[in-house]
Amino acid sequence: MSIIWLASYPKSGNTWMRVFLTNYLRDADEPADINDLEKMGGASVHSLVEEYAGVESTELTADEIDLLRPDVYRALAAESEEVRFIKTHDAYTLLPDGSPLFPAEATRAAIYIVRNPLDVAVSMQHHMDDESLEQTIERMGDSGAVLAASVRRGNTQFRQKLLSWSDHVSSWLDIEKPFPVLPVRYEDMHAEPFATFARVVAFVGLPTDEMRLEKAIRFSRFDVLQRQEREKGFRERPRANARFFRRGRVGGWRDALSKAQAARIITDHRAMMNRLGYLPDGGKSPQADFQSPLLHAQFTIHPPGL
Amino acid sequence: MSPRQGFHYRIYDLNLTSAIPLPELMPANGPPDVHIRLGAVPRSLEQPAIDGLIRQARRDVWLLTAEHITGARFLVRQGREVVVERVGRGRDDVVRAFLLSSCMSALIMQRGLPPLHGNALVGEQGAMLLSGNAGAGKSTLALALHLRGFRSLADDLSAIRMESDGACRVLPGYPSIKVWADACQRLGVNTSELKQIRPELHKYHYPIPPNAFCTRPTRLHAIYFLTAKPIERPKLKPLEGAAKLREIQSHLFKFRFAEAQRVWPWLFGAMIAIASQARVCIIERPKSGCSLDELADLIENDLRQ
Repeated sequence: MSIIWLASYPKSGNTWMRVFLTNYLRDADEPADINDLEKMGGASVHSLVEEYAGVESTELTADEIDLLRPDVYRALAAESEEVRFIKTHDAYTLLPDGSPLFPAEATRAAIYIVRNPLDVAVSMQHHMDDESLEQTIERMGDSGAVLAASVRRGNTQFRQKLLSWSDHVSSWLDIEKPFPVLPVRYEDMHAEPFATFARVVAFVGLPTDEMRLEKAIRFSRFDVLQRQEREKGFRERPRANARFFRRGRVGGWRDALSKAQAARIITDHRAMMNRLGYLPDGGKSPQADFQSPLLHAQFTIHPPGL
Repeated sequence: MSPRQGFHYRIYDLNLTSAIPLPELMPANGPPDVHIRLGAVPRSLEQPAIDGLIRQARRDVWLLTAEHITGARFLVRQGREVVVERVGRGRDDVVRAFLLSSCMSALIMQRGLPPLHGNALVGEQGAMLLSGNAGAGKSTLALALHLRGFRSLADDLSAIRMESDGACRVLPGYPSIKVWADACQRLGVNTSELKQIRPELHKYHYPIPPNAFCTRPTRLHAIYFLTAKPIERPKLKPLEGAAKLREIQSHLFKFRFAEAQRVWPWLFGAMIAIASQARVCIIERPKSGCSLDELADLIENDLRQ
């Protein structure tokens, strides 16, 4: 079978999407355990490459690991009996020989989750241990940005090319791909959960069942996730004292960013923010336009042909 | 010995003659059991039982075809021979790294020795293994314990032999621990005098002096599996029964247990022997880091019990 990538810039709703899909697939009477989402686990852990390639990945450079990754994903797809959902924060990039990091033969489709970069900046800065908001904003504008660049204690992931926030979005939504990509706005997951998640379910080729959909949305509500994290913790937390499910709000940046910080993000990402409906008046008063289902107009969505 | 005749080393209680220098290893002390030579290596095996993306295996033959990364193909046969064929611009340091990790694990598997992923150290109670996934902090903790007086026995790949007396013994690897620059910094080790394992990586060989390296197979006493969790204080959890077995099986060196067991059916029995003889614990450490002393204390206290 093959892989459906759950792709996003960090702190953009990827985990929420994974929790929703887990709940929809399980169709159980109680919410799925947030610590039991492994089957949709990350595409970038060292142990995955070691397990499939049988080599010592910590003695390879990040570029060498990248050369192995397409083979790892092919093997993963080949041995999965069902469609695999795999989370990734990598931008869609090509290897030096021009072949894509995410190989077409192993891929069925991708869901690309995108969130207003003003909110991403605030959430990301909370997630990082030792980074100021200025540094986060700087990184979001840096077209050479990477995740997990340094191998250090506790870094079980290998380097992932993030690029700038705008480049990341563009890499997934603009570069032509031999597989379909469904763009999903975090803000639409909030404002119109039923319609938005119904689109996801239809896109991945699952049968749409209204009761099941309603239940999966209820089981992946932010307060449910927060309660689980409070009671049992969450293994993907960056550290003990940090909450992963912190606020989950739309527009929370208004309480957290200075005017100058917001202006810097808008300057860096104006074109992409405009396209995604995050700057309804061209950037004079930044706010997400929650009402209009802009995505259909902005991007062509091809059915995945499942 | 002159390079023309090959270099002579000792690792995992085996003497080997190698066409490729492996300066980290100890010198040989007897006639060779294993030959590492340059020669032609096929691109694939017929009817492999393991057919992975860059490697294939049957019972007595194992092939690694990662030439797009290493610049070489490797063939390991009958636990006695490693053939290396250079393809294009092979990098010596990468070839060496693959010889000492993937090839060595295939070699000892062919000789009936289960390879476990982790460092081995020796204290009063015998040998202990520090295992865990890449990035868990095995080598850093191993160096910390070594600096507290534990003798080093093996780095990264620990080979275990089932002896005729029924005991599991860990075999000596080579006298070096590979550590990252930040680990050296935390432990007050000056990297300027250490050899980098590759120029592109801030990972170094920390040489173990002869009196601090254990050259004898040593009875396995305990295995500690290190894992990072979003918690505040490190915790040690002893495992029992099937949980021990599961954890040991999932830390075979670069083999997936289910796959390897198909090719080497004795492996299951070996895992049971290890699980029944060794004390097995999980050590959860905070993701955001904690003092190495605290982790080392946990282990030392546990060993005293």
